[in-house]
Amino acid sequence: MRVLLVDDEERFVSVLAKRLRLRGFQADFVCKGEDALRAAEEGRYDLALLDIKMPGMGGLELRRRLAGIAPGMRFVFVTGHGSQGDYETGRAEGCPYIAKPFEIEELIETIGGLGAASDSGKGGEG
Amino acid sequence: MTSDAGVNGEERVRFLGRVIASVSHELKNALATVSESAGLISDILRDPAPSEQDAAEVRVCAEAVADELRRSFGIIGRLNAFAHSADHAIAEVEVRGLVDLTAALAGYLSFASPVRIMDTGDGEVRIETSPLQLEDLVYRLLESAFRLRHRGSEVRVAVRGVEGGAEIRLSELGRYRLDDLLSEESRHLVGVLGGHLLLDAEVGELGIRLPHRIRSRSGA
Repeated sequence: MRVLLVDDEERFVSVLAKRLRLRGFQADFVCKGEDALRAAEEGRYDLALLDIKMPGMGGLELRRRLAGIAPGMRFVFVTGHGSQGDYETGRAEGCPYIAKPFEIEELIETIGGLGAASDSGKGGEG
Repeated sequence: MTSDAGVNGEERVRFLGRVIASVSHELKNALATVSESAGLISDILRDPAPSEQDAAEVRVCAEAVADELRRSFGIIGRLNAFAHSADHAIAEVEVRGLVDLTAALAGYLSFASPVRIMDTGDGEVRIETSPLQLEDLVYRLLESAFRLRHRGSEVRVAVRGVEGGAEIRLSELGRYRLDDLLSEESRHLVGVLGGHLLLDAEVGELGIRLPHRIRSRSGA
């Protein structure tokens, strides 16, 4: 499964990408919405993990634009706020929502809940 | 000491809530990196014979944990300093330090652009005012700056002592209409602080002139 991680916290997102790779995902990361759009135009991703609050283009706008580029792409929102407002926003967008900090198993379970993990080559433990 | 300022309690609580929300967001980001770095170390150490590259990765993770903990302590220190600004309704404050702290707190807003505190070399500028409400006003102005200025632009904030008090000047904000910069509540805050606004469209600066001593509601 090809996963694109988008979060302005570079250290966080780079380590998360490594941990997902160790678990068989093909994970790339970028720190800006504009870079995510470029990445989606250049490569095919099954899923994008989007930080809701980022400077410039936030996760909500990015989701809409990515969906226009890659109609089959699925999304998971990530946020450090964890507010009721964010939760409701994620639900209104029809996307799962996960609050930082989280256990990687929780993320993988969330991805699995989208029904995307089994059909995309996610391998065994790294 | 009783409050002598004209901003209601609900407004004050709202300000505290906004600051705490953005600070906790920043703290969660730092802790999320700590959590992921610790997780990666754990992942690597599952291998009974880690490679040299793995060992280097563990070192990088350990450094990241240390850095993020330093960042967290910095955030908590600022939050603590901010919390103490509510200790007294009126107190003597060092304006540059107060603005510096407020700019750091506002910098945690998810939509923040870089803000640089311009060093005027003016030394300490002390006035007697309402610390919490002055922080509220500066925070509101920085929020406006972040919303109005394009991403990556710089807003310089300068503090200087002037005859009768202190002046805070924010670059770029003088290019906007006051209605776009400050809500009615924010303008009310300026009045509560006994200050007045100076809009210098020519150089694009917004100034807030504050009295050396805030006048209490009772007139004392």
